[in-house]
Parts: sequence; structure tokens; C-alpha cells
Amino acid sequence: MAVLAQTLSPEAGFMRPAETVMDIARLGCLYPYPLSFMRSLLRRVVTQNWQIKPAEFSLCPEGYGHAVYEIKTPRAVFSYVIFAKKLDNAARSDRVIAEDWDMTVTLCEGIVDTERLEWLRTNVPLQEKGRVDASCFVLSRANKSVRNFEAVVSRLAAGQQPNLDEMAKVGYLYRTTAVYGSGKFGMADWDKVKARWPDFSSPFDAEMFSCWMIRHFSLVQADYVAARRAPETAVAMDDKIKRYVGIGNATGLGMAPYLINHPLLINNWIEVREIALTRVLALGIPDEITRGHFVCFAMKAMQHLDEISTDNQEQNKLNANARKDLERALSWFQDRSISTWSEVTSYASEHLGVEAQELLNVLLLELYPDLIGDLESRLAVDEVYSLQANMRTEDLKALIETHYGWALKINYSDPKTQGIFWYRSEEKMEPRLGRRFEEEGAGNEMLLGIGWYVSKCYETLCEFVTANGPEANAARFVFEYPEHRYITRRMQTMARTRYGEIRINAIDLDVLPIQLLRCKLSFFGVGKFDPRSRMWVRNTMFQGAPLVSDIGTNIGDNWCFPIRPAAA
Amino acid sequence: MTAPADLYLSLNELRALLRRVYEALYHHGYDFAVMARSCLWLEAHGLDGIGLILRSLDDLDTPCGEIQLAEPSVGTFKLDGKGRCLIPFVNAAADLAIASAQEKGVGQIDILNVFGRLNILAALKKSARLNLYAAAIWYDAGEQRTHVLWLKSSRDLPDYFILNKAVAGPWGGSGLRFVCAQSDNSVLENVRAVLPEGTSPYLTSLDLSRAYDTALEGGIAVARGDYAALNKIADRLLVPSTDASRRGAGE
Repeated sequence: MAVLAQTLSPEAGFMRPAETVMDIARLGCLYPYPLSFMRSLLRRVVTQNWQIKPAEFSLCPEGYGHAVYEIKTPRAVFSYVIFAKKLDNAARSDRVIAEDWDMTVTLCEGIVDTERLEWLRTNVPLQEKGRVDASCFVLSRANKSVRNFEAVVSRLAAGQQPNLDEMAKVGYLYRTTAVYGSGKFGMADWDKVKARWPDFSSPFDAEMFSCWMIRHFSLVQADYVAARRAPETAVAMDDKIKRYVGIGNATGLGMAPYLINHPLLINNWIEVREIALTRVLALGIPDEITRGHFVCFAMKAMQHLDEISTDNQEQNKLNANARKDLERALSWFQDRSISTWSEVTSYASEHLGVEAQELLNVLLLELYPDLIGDLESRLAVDEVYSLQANMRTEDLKALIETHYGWALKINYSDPKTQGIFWYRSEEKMEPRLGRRFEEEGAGNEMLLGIGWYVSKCYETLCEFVTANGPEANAARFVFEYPEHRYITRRMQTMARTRYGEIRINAIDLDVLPIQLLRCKLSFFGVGKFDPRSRMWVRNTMFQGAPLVSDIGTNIGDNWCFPIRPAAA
Repeated sequence: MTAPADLYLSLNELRALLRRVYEALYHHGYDFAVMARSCLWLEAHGLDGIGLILRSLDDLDTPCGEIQLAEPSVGTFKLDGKGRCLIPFVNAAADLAIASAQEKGVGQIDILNVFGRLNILAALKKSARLNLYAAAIWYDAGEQRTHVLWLKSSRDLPDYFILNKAVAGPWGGSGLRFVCAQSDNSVLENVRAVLPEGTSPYLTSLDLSRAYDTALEGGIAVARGDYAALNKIADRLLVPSTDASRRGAGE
């Protein structure tokens, strides 16, 4: 928000411009950074010494049953309720349209008694087809990576640690396939969560916590099953390997509309990130220690890139190029002394690809947690998109030209530029893409082609100004053309922000929704992207992150760019 | 725990459903997001927004006819709603008055020959956000009661007065007046013309605020029949699943 930038005006002057930062090709290259939600959350969990203990743990020897974890934060008590069941392989699907899962979970307020547990048991496993209530604030599910889970359990049962080569390929035992919050299916509204439970008042705190708990349970379950399968020989997984086990995630088109429908929030996330970078560039002094850290982070990042396993050739190429660029930058860096970190970013922008530029930015951000830590409290924003009814239409026209020039440049007479429409399928309202000129359904198109709506509005507005004069106000314009009211108030609102809209033509025939997905996932803190098509991506969350058992220890917040542990 | 008779929807869930309802009714011909928010506010403040939609459905489902706007004097508007439901054009109509209040100090619109007049609530909330004073006044000939929503200074919400008598005015039996201003005078003048001093509100702004807090805390109770009726409309947006569409999901 504008307010945020104003309070930091000394550095705001050096912030990167919107045309650079909001370009979708760049946003689609973002990596997790220290203020990513899962990093911020775990810093808080560890430093505030949250107490997480099983209040109930009722599993059969195969690991099916239920568990209830009690979570004590400095302010409140919550329960995390897990139902684990045996699932036929044929029923296991990562798609949102699936109807059965290996594990279903909810996070709720207070202690769960027997009666409430039974009520949750009748609803939580149903997911979208069930109902929960306003004391719950996350509903989620996960599926086993059957092959990996069984391989890990077999080895543990035989007294061996998991095969690290295999673990490096998959990286998790379970994959989440949907994580719901914000009032869905009767859960507590975000406004309630924010006000009532400050422990979860940053964006997606509760959802990230739930994923971390799924990861925790997956590790507990693997140890548990192995111990019951072979009590004589079984060993528990080493903590260093456990830390390397993340939680898989499959993210599809459903996440993309979120970014387009919440431009104020996304602007805020981007702005905070850019302020952080600007602070580091302005205030961080390269000395022997930080230079050493920088090199260490870079080496770790290169190894991380080497270890990413995906069948997607395009992603492999991106990773390889980023790694090569990083090596080049490192070689350049080690050959000279620099007086400011801006010399590194200048070198990157002149010589390296966008992927490596953004990667280097993250390395710099990792160097100075103290310079940027306070920003994590500023990631939430109240989203109000209000029509400025008294704005002169001539001013509105100028506003569009200034802030939406990128949209006006698109030539919509070329059918390719509107070759796609987004719609909701009758299958669980799953968002899908259709080819506008070949498939039925464009009449029910979702309002996501923002550039196109801007362009139509501008065209009408120009005619309106000609007919009514420049002094006619926006209220008069939208009264006469109610179809432009939404886009008008959106443009007026976003024009007051520093970064504005994501610059994407979401209805172009060649649109790459995974760029939107990767952008959002980077803010979550997700890495190891494994695109399965241009519409959905597998990835790994919390790999390298602290374990529940690490709470209360002096474990550091140093799990960026996770790499495989050394063999024991 | 036995299943409750009503469903409890969160505000966000109801807002999403209402957005789909209005999007299904009007596609993008109106600002469906703000229409949904207006209805949600009514419901969340205990003023039966869902009932207002459901009772208006036949009208909402019919293409909007020509409504006529006049500006008899600067900043004063008159709109003939031709007997239609106020929902589709209430926000845009109120914006005309709000813009005048911002530009000239006071704005007023008489919206005649409409029904569903409580939908004007959102305009008072918007006025509050802009630090304007505002009031909406109408007489319901069917129930022979006069309604006044009055937004006083420093409040986020209006007080709601209902008089069990007819008060004649430009609103007639099926219209309303919405007035907003940068100072209290013009609004007070309109309110005092219908509301005797000392009249107790039917609902105070505090009552409305408490209703909202209750809705936020525990959700909004919605009769299952009403929920099904809303979903039936919203489902018009859904596109049948085909092999091609499954490819469009990334399969």
C-alpha cells in the first residue's frame, strides 16, 4: 500500500519500478525468501516455544486411526485433529475433484473432547462435502507418496535409515492436495482469525501451520508403522533426515484466480519484498563475514538446484541456467572487492537471466535478517476497492493511461490475445481453461482477463469524455455503463499503490498459469517446483525446516535452499 | 451433536456464493462483487439480505428495462426505477449523490418506483467511510410504515428508525430519498422533517454492529431451502465437464 512506502520514503526512492517487478515472467521466477510465510511462521513457533503434544494418538499397527495434537501458544490453546485411513490406490488422486484421501485434518480452537471429536470425524474426512464450524480454521487433506512411504517404512523396519538418493528424488512422504481456510465450509472467517487468534494473524499462517503438522504426522506415522511391523529390528528415522523430508504439494489452476482477484494483497506482498531488498542494498555493507555468508548461501543454492528432480525439460533448463548464472556471478564476485551489494545486483541485471537475478536477490535477503524482520508484520492488508465517485473522467482516462499502459498496449483484435477463457467446471467448481473460439462456455467466463476489461473500459470512457466533457465524474460514467463499475473502482484503487497489478494477459492463448502459481508459492515459502503441465505444479514445502522436536532448541532459521544431508 | 436445522455460513462463504449468484444473473453487466457485498452486509447486520434477494428473484431474473435519470438541479438527482428491484442500480445511483457531496458539499437522489429499498444500507456504509453524513428515507405503502436510516457523525453504521405511520414526501409509496453531505445540516433537515426528536431507533448502530460481530463469530444461519435456492442460481455459471474441459484443468 502507498502508506507502507511513504513510511519508508528514504529507501522508497531506490525501489525497483513496477514495470520490472510486476512483469509476470519475472514473478514466475521468484524463489522463497526469509519473509515467506512458512519461514516467518516457524521462526515464531520456535522462538515463542509453542508446545505441541499428542493429546490422543489412536492408530492401528498399519498407522490408520486418528490423532489429536494439543498446541499451546503463549496466548491460546488449539487442537490439530488428524484422521488417517487406508485408501485404495485407485481412489488416490491429487486433483481437487478427488473424493477420498489418506489423511484429512482440521485445525481448531481449544481442546477437542470426545463428543466434538466424533462430530469432526463425521465431517472432516468428507472435506468439501462436509461442514465444519467457526471454531475450525483450516481444513485440509493429504495423500501418501505410496512408493516412498513404503520404501522408508521398510528400511526403518529393517533397521536402516531411508535411502537418501530416493529421498532426494521425492522429498516427502505425503502430498497435500488442498488446504482450505478463510471461512470455507463453515470455518472461521479470516477477519475472525485475524482478530481472535493473533498467533495466526499473518496471511496463510494457519494454512502453513497445517501443512507443517501434516509433515510432522507423516514422520511420526512412518516411525510408528515401522516399529510395529518389526519391533525387534526397527529404528527411528534420524532427525537430520527427518528435517530433509518435506511435505509435497500439488497446486493447480485454483490458485491462479486468487492472485488476480486480490491485487491489493499481492501488491502488498510484492512491496514488502521490494522494501526488504531495498533496505539490504541501501544498508547492508559487504564485509568479510557477510561476503563469506554470501558465498556459502550461493554454494548451497547451487547444490539445491542440482538436486531438484523433475521430468519437466523446461524446468530443468531453467534450473540449469540459473545454476550456471549463479556460478558465473560467484566467480565474478570472488575476483573483486565491492563496496555495496548493489554492485552484485547491477552485475546480475546486465549479465544474468531473470531467474538468477531473483535468486541472487534472495541470497542477499538471507544475509540480513535483522534489517528486514520487522516487515513480516506488514504482509496483511484490508482490501477495499472503493469507487472514487467524484473523480473527473478526464483524470480517470489519464489514470488508465499511466497505470494500465501495459494493458492498453495489448492488441485485442488479434484473436490469440483472447484465445483463452477461464471458467468454473461443474466438477467441484474447479477452475479450468477453455479455448474461446473452439469450446463452449465462454458465456460463463470468470472475470480474470483484467487487461481486456481495462481496454474495453478505456474505449468506452474515451467516447464518454468526448460526449460529456472532461468534467463529468466517474459516478456518472459508471451509472451509464454499469458493466465498467467493477474495473473502474479496481483501477482507481490500484493506481494508489506502488506496484499495482500483475502484468499478465490471463486470457492469451499462450498464458502460463504456472507463473502465477510459482509467484504465490514463493511467498508461501515453497521450493523445488516440478511443473506437470503449464497448469499445475508439484512442489515441496518445509523441506529442511525444523521439526516439532526442535522447538525449544537453538535451531536457527537457516533452512533456505534445502540440500540433502550427508550420509551417516 | 445433532445436525442443526440451518446451515451456518461464514461471511466469506456467503459473499462468494452471492457473487456467483449475481454473476450468474448479470454476468459482468453489473458490479456483481459490490452487489454481493451489499447483500452480505444486510444479512450480516441482521437485516435479511438473503430474503431480499429471494423475494426479488423474479424481477432480478428479468432483463433490466430502461431506468430514467434526471438532474433537476445541480447535485440533485431523480431516478425512475420503473417498478424494478433496487439491487442492480442502487450503488451506482448512490454514487451520484456521494460524488455531489464530495464535490459540492451535499448530494441527493430520489429513487422512485422501486422495491427492495433496504439495499440502500451499503451506500450509508460507504458514506461513513468517506466521512460523510447521510440518511435514507422511505415510506412503505404496503406495511404503512416509514423507514429512516440515519448516519450520524463518527459512526460506521446508521441508526435505523421505523415509524408506524405514513410520512409523505417525494419518495411516495415506493421510492426513497438518499441524501449525503459533508456537514450535518442538510441531512438533519431531511431527517427532522420525518422523525420527531427523541424517537428511539428500531435498531441502533450499536445493535447493527453487534449483529455483525455475532455473524463473524459464529457464522450466518441460512435456511437450507434458501441455500439451495441461491446455489441453484449460482450453478448456472458452471460449465459441463467434458474431455476437452478436463484437458483445460491440466490433465
